[in-house]
Parts: sequence; C-alpha cells; structure tokens
Amino acid sequence: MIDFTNVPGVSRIALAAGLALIAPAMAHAERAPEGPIEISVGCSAGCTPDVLMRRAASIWNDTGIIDNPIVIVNREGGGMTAAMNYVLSRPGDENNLMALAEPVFSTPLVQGTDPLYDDFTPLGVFVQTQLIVLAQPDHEATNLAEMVEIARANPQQVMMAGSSAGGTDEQVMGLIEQAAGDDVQMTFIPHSGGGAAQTTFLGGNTDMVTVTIDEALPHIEAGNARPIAILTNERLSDEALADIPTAIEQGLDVTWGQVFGLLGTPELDPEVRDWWTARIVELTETEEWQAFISGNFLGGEVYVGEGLPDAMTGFHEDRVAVLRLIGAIE
Amino acid sequence: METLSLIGMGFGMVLTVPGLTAVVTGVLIGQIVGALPGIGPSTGMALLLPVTFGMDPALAIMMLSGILYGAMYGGSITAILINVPGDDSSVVCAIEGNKLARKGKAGHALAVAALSSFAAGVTGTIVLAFAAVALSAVALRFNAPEFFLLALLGISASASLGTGSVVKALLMGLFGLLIAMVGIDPIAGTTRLTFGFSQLLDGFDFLPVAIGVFGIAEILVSLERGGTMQPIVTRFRDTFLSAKDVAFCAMAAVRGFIVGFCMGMMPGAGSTVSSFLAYGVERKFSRRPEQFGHGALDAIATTEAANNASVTGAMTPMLTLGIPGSTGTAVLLAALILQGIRPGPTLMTDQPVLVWSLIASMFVGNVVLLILNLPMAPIFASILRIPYAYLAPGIVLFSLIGAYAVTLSFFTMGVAIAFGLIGYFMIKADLPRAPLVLALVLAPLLEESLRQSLLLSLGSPLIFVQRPFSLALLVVLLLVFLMPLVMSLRSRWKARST
Repeated sequence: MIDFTNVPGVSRIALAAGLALIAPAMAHAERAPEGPIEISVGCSAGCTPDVLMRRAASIWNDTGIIDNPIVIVNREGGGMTAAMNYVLSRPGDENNLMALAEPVFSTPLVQGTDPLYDDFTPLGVFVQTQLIVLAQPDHEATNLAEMVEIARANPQQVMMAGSSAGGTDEQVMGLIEQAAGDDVQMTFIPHSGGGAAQTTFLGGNTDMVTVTIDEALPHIEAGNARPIAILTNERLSDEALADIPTAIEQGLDVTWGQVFGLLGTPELDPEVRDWWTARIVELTETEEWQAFISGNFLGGEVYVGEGLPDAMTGFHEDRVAVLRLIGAIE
Repeated sequence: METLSLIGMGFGMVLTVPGLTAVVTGVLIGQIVGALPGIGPSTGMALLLPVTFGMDPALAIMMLSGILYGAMYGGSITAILINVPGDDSSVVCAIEGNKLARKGKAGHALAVAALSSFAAGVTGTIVLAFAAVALSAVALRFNAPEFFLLALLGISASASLGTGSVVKALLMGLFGLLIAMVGIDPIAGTTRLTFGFSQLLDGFDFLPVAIGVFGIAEILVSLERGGTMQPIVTRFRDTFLSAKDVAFCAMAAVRGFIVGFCMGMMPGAGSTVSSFLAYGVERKFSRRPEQFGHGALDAIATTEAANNASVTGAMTPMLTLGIPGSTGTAVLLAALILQGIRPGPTLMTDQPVLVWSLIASMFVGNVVLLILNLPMAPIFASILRIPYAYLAPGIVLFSLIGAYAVTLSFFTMGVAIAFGLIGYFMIKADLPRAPLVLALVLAPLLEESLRQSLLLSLGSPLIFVQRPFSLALLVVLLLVFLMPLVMSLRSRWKARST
C-alpha cells in the first residue's frame, strides 16, 4: 500500500475507517440526485483531473452505475478558484460537483486566504499519482543519493525543472532538500506547465525533473532519461519499474504524490452524499476503472465514508507543512 | 521512400468512408468553433472527447485534430467580417482584415486568409511527415534564453506598429506590459496587482481585452458617427486575387510559416504568440510597412500562415516526445491516454497506423477546408450587406457572449466592456491599440523566459552569448535594432555632404 501522506498511518486509518463504513453507508437511506450532473474541473481540457473525471464519467454512464448524464465542464482560472467559487456558491445543489485536485488545498494556502477544502462536502478521494525523479541519462549521479551529494558540494548548482511555483514539483524538491539536510540547496526552475518543464529537461538544461510514472516510462524506454528515485513507500512490482529504487531506500525519507477525487457542494444532503459514496466504490471495483488505473500507473486507494473528512484534513496538513518548508507560506 | 509508403498507408486509412467522415466532421466543427468567439479549439475538442471513446483511436485522433486546425481557418472569418476575433490567434487578422473589409475588400482578405492557411497547413504537414524527428531534436536546443530573445524581437516591433508617433506606440506597449503584470508571478508564485480579486489571479485574459479594444471600441466610435456607413457588397469575383497580390503575399506567408512552425514546436508559445510574432517580423520585412494598421494584405497572409503552421509545429513534440506544446495538443494526448495509448518518444514506431493516418488526414482536412472556405467567402461576406445599424448590436452581443465563454464567468464580460471603453478613449486620443495587445501577448513569454534564463545561469547574463542559437538570435536582434539607426545616420551624413 502506498502512503501518500507524510503522517505515518493516516492513510491506513482512513482506509480502514472508509471500508468499515461502506456497509453501513449502504444500509442508510441513499438518494440519487435528479437530472444531469455537472462536474467542474478547475483546469483546461486534457489536464490530469480532466482526464480522470472524463474516464470516470464514461464508465459510470456506460456501465449503468449512474443513469444521470454526467457533463465535465472546464472552469479554468486562478489556481482552480474559479471552479471552487462556482461550486461553493451553490450550497445544497445536488447537480454540481467539483473535481478534487492539489490546488484545492494549495491555492488558498499560497494566497493566504482561509482553507476552502473543508467548505465542500467531500465525496471521495480515489486516485493518486505516483512520482519519479528523472536525471539526465549521462549524469554523473546514478541515483538520488549521489545527486544530493553533488548538490551538497555545489550549492544551488543542481537544478530541477518543474511546473508552477509552489506546485507538486517544487514541493518534491523541498522535501528532498529537507531529507538531505540543511546544507543541501538546489535550484528550482518553474514553468507554465508540465510539458514545458519536461522540454527544458529533455533539452539538457537541468539535472532533474519530477514526473508521474506514465509520463516517465516512455522517456526511460527511449533512453532520454534515467530514473533515480521513485517517491513511493515501496518499490513497484511492475517489470519496467521494479529496478527503480525508492528515495527511502537511498536514505532520503521522501514520499509524495498528488490526490484526486470528487467534492460536493456545501450542505449537501447526507443521503445524496451516501449515494455518491456507493457509486464511487462501485466505480473503483469495475474492470474498466482498474485497467485504467493500472495502465496509467496511478494509485487507486479509496477514501470514502466517515474517515474521509479526517483524511482530507491529513492531506491538508501535509501540504501546509510542505508549503511552509519551501517558503510558499509563512 | 519508407516515409512515402507510410504516408500511402495513412491515406489508405483516411480515404475510406469512416476516415473521410471523421476528417470532415472534425474540420467542420473546427471551422464553427473557430468562428465563434470564446469557444476555442480545445473547448470544441473536449466537448467531443466522450464521443471518441468507442471509436477507433486513429479515427478519433483524426477527428479531434481536424477541430484543432479547422479552428485556425474559422477564426479569421468573424475577425475579418465583424472585427470579432473567433479565437486568440486571429486577433491580428481582425486588426488588419476588418480594415480591408471596410474598404470593400472582405473577399480579398478572406481569400488570402484561406489560401495562406492552406499553404501553411499543407507545408507544415509535409515538414512534419519528413522531418519531425530531426526537428524535435533541434527544437530541444531552444529554451528559455532563445525564447527571451525571440520575444524581445517580437516586442520590439511594437514601436513601429503605431500609425503615427513612436513615443505613443511605446507608451501603449508599456501599458500592455503593465496589464500583463496582473496575476500570479510566474516564478515566485506570489500575486501581483490583483487587489484581492480572485478573478484576477490569472491576469487579464487576452481575448476579452482584444474583443474590447478592437471590437467594442470601434462599434462605439462608428455608432457615434451615425448612419453614414454604407452596407458593403462583396461579389464572387472579388475573391479572385491578382497575380500581383499573390506574389506580394507569398513571401509574407513563407515568413509567417517559418515563425509559426518554429514557435509551435516550443511549449508555451502557441498559435497566438506565433501570429503576433509573425506580424511583428513582417512589419520589419514588408515592402509596404506603412499599410500595417490600415489593412495590410500581407499581414493577413503572414499571421494566418503563422497560426496554421504553429498547429502542425505543435504536433512535432507531441508525436516525437509525447509532450503537449499547447492546450490543443494536450487534449489530443488526453484522447490517446483515454484510448489506452501511452504517448511518448516511441509513439511513431509503436503506433505507425495512428501517426501516419493522422498525418495523411491533415492533408485531406486542409483540402476540405480550402474547398469550404474559398468559394464560401462571398457568402460569408454577404453578412456585411446588413446595414451597420442593425449589425452593430448583434456584433456587441456576439462579442460579449464570446468574452463570457472564455472563462464561463461574467467577470470577463466586464473586462471586455471596460477595455471597450479604454479602446474608445484610445481611438479618440489617437493612441495606437496594436502595441498594447502585442505587449500583452508577448509579456508572459518575455518575463518567464528571462527569469528562467537567469535562474539557469545563476544570475549571469552571459547565458545569452554562451549558447549557439541564443548568440545567433542576439546578432539578428542587434542588426534589427541598429539597421534603422545606421540607415538614418548615413542618409543624414549624405544629406550633409551634398
């Protein structure tokens, strides 16, 4: 099992609580919302939460788990605040949902406003991305531990390309620096998006880049990059990934990933919430969904039910700690 | 030879009933979403994504990419006819094309737009088919320092884009840069000049600003003039270009193609930056630079070639590296992922049928679009027969709906109206509006790449001379800056010596 939180045990507790709750939740009165369901995604078409929600929606509708037509609407802008404000301004609305992604936690933190994640009615967290640190194929460092030593000897000269400032990639670099000790300082080069960051890396301009596994594999296979650490608790069993050491094995206590899920409007009827709990569980049990998750090397851990609010708080607190670490918040 | 047989295989896939249906459907939808302001190609593609789930992956990708390049054709129609750019990349087309339409040359403008779009689309596809792998290796050598110098080259054109005073043009360029500062700092991640409005976190969206300062502002001015404007009639024979026009525009289209294709290959630049950069470059090379801002036919040729070339350019990193260079290609990649195909450097060898049918479909799609656009130009242009007093409210409505559609919020509608008033006062004060939007478009690239360059070099400006491509661009830039200076000094010296 992959632990995505930095607080030991939190995910396991949440999962246990979640699973324990599925049975009673089903026994509760469940009520399906009427009419079409609109899921607001806070980024442009083709971004990760967009792809995840479109896949989930198609499985829900195609397999007949959900009869209501599901529409994905991209409400981009302001680090997902446009989408969040849209959904938060409709308390009790049963037809509007929001795709949960990292900015739901991080944007209010970085903007110095009150957290927004707890204003929603959480419905479920059911996808995680798993991350790999890639280095240049001919780099003298063959693993993350060696890279960190080079950084120790050459302050700020080891560079990592990544997407937006304060985002997951910069958080990873901050965690690596913290795990390596105070005297290790690297340079982060922010970009407008993940594609731009990968291009900078592939052009040989930086030592490292952090990417998700599905993004990393083609570059590893083509010999354009060398994987130096996987940021999961344990090595993955897949043939192509089994040889990649975890950061933990290399003496750097870094595990990190992004979480995705679904959020309901504030004050959502508990009966509708419970209905979603059951539908999310049904989704994650379908063959189609499991094939999608494993095919794209995603984490498919499910957090639903009574343990979910605590898990959300755990995710939030982890992000507060990391953002404070990298100086994005005070 | 191998490439030719692969293309042959691709055509075998496209020239079937399902293949042609997919391509024609794609380009038709592209044409429509392109013409509708605010609904860009990526929105159109996202809407059709669910439809593609059950389809053959090659057909799905042929249809979706048809929307992407079809939109580049569609955008110019509304831009030229009613001065409302259908999408970001046709703003230049609105600046110049609508001036031509007002002079009764809408047919010419539409024909030049369609022909240069077609030429760039087909040439780009040929380049993509034969040189994608080699080009993407070269493109990777371009990074922040080179982007910065390219953006600087483009923004330097703002001084000359005014129709009168250079000082006024520079001032408006600075105003554009100032507006571009609003939002989240791209490097530090902190907010700037948002005054607590969360709607301003992403800064001013470019399209509503352009809709305001061009579309709405000009309607305000013309309504003030009253009913003096005559309906404009465009006949079929007006779309025929003279050999002189074609020769005049050909080189502009070639330059636009080169700029567009190169910028398309760079992530983050996209078709809008390409079209403006090409406009700026053309202003330096044009034989009739004085027409810029008053309806320059070669400006339309260059900018339409540039935005179409940038779409095929963006396919290069997508097919050879699996990296999205634009939001449009990001949707294409998402479609592949949803089909269970992992894009990456091995895509061309792992999925030859898919890649080569896509390339073949782009030839077919561009032909369909040309057939659709060239003979239809007078029909589209007949909208101008409607008396302006009736047309104007429709244009305003269309503009505002477009501004709303950009973010699905009323705030951007307000932005368009506010910039409509700003644009009105700019016209009244004889302040040029093109430098403002040029600066607004190029500022993010300019700022981000400069700061990335200096991060990469740990603060040393020497990074601009240490990299071969960067050094070459720097020399070009110096020549562009110094040439007019040397020329004027020489003519002054000559004048004195005689």
